[in-house]
Order: sequence, then structure tokens, then C-alpha cells
Amino acid sequence: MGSTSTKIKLRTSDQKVFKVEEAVVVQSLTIKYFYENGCPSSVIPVHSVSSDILSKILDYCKKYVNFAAGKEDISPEELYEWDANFVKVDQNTLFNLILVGNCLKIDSLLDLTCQTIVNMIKGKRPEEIRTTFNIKNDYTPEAEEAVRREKKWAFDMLRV
Amino acid sequence: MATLSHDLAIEILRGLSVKDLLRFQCVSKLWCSSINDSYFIKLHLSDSLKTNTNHSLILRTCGYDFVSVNYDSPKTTQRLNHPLGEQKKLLKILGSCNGLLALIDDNNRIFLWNPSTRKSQVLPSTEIDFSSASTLYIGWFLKLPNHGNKTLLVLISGPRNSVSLNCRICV
Repeated sequence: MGSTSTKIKLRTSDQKVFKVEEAVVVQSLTIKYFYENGCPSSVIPVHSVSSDILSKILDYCKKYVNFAAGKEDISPEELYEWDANFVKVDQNTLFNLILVGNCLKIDSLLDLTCQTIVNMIKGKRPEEIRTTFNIKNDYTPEAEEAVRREKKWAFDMLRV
Repeated sequence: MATLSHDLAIEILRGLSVKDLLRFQCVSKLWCSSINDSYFIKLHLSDSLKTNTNHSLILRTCGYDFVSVNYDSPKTTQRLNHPLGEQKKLLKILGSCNGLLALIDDNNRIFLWNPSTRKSQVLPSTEIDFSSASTLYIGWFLKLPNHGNKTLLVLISGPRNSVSLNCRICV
């Protein structure tokens, strides 16, 4: 570790190569598996990830590795605040972070981003959820009305 | 625009309250069946127990009037309708487990009530006489996942020197 730490190369979908410290990159269980079972000197392709998303994800991993190693002079509360700022992004970026967090198996990032979506959608109406998740309503108007009637109380006191 | 797979979307729904989940059953048929899936329900329950979320305090203002106070936001207090839809029928609470309440009414009907979903189910009648004040009842409700999620009610009841064991299985 330290100045002599091993660097791993990652190639993104837009063909950019990132040189990243081993400790940072193995936060992803998927890459860790590739690295430990493949050839460490070659470039690991991360086809499904664009350079702007990878750069953001590496910022996250670096922050946590440094915090765990005592290199970040911040309190857990400040880290919590840093997390909150990290997920202040548009919905498209947030969904991309979830997709990549899931694909690269970075559990803490996945928890953080999923919780952000939970906070975003709670108290919302089904119509808003369909728009957010791009879901087609496959109910007939009568069938939807029947489900709504059965759960009528769950529609009380909704946020406007 | 990035789109999440159905599996990922359902994974996210695990963090929601029961009220949100009931409402989101109206999103689509697929969401409705995934939210009603017993495996999802089990995960949601174990998440809630682990993270101390989705907890409510059920208060009874009189023999049949229940109020639910949400632990996550104590400002949300809701009056609950009578579990069987019958106004002013006295109810006695036998016990609770995993958010389910076992209640008995003055006709000796035992039923399970889930205040989070507002659903209730009357259990088949029992030969045990619950009217006697000197009798002690201790009961457990167990879900049997290998038997189509049937509920097993194990009830020990009786006066001091003649305790009987009564097992019943109901859907």
C-alpha cells in the first residue's frame, strides 16, 4: 500500500482507461473477482459503465477506503453528509449509479442509492411511480378502479 | 434515460412502508403480484424487524376503537376501522406476533388482524370456552411455509390443574 500500491487499469464503454489503486477498485466484488482470477497486468473492461459514471463511483470508493484507513479527517456525521451530497444528482445519473452498483456489486453504494429512491418515491401516487420507473399501466380502467377501491385508505393523506 | 429492471425496482420497494406498497399495487399487474408475493412479504418483514422501521403502536381507546401511531413519524396517527367492519363490537386482544394481532369477539370468534394492511381473517371455531375469567390462555401463531403458508395456532389453556394442549391448523 502507500506510494507503491498496485494500480489496476479499467476501460469504460467510451474507451477511456482509468488507473486506480487496487484497494479502491476491489470495493467492487465483481472487479475483485476478475482481478484475482484473471491477468492483473491487463486492462479490465467495464463495458456497461461510461467514464462519467465510473469516475463518480471511484470517488465514492476512494472516500470510503480512505475513511476506513483513517486518511480522511472527517467524522461519521460528515461522511453521512458527504453521502447525501453524493446522491444529489438527476434521476438518470441516480439510476445509472444503481445499475452499475448492482453490476459491479458495490453493496454500500447500492444501499445508499436505493435508499435515495425510497425517499424520493414514498408518499407518491401510482401515476407518478409509472413515470419514474417508465412502467406501462396494464390494468383495464375497471380493474385498476377495483384495486384502488380495495386499498382506498392507502390513498388518504398523500403529499401533494 | 436509464431504466431499472423489474427485479431492481422490487428490491428498492423493500424499503417502503406497507401503506406505500398497498398503493403501488395499482402501478401495474406485475408490481401487484410481486408486492403480494409471500417471499417479498417475508423479506419486508425481516427488513422491518432488522432496521426497526414500519413499527406502529396500536392503542385501544375503548373496547372496539383502535388507533395506530406510526413510530417512524409519530405525527401520523390514524383511526382504524373495526377489524371485522362491525361497529361497537367488543374485542379482546389474545396476543400479537410479527405485527399480527389475535383478537376474540364476544361471540367467541377468534381472528387474526393485520393493522398494517387492515386485513383480518376469522379462524375456524374452537371448542375451547373463552368466556371463563379464571382460565389462562397462552398462544402462538406459526406460519408453515412448507404447507402453503397455513397458520398453526398452538393454544394452551385451562385452569390451574387441568391444562390442555390444543393445536389447530387454518389457512
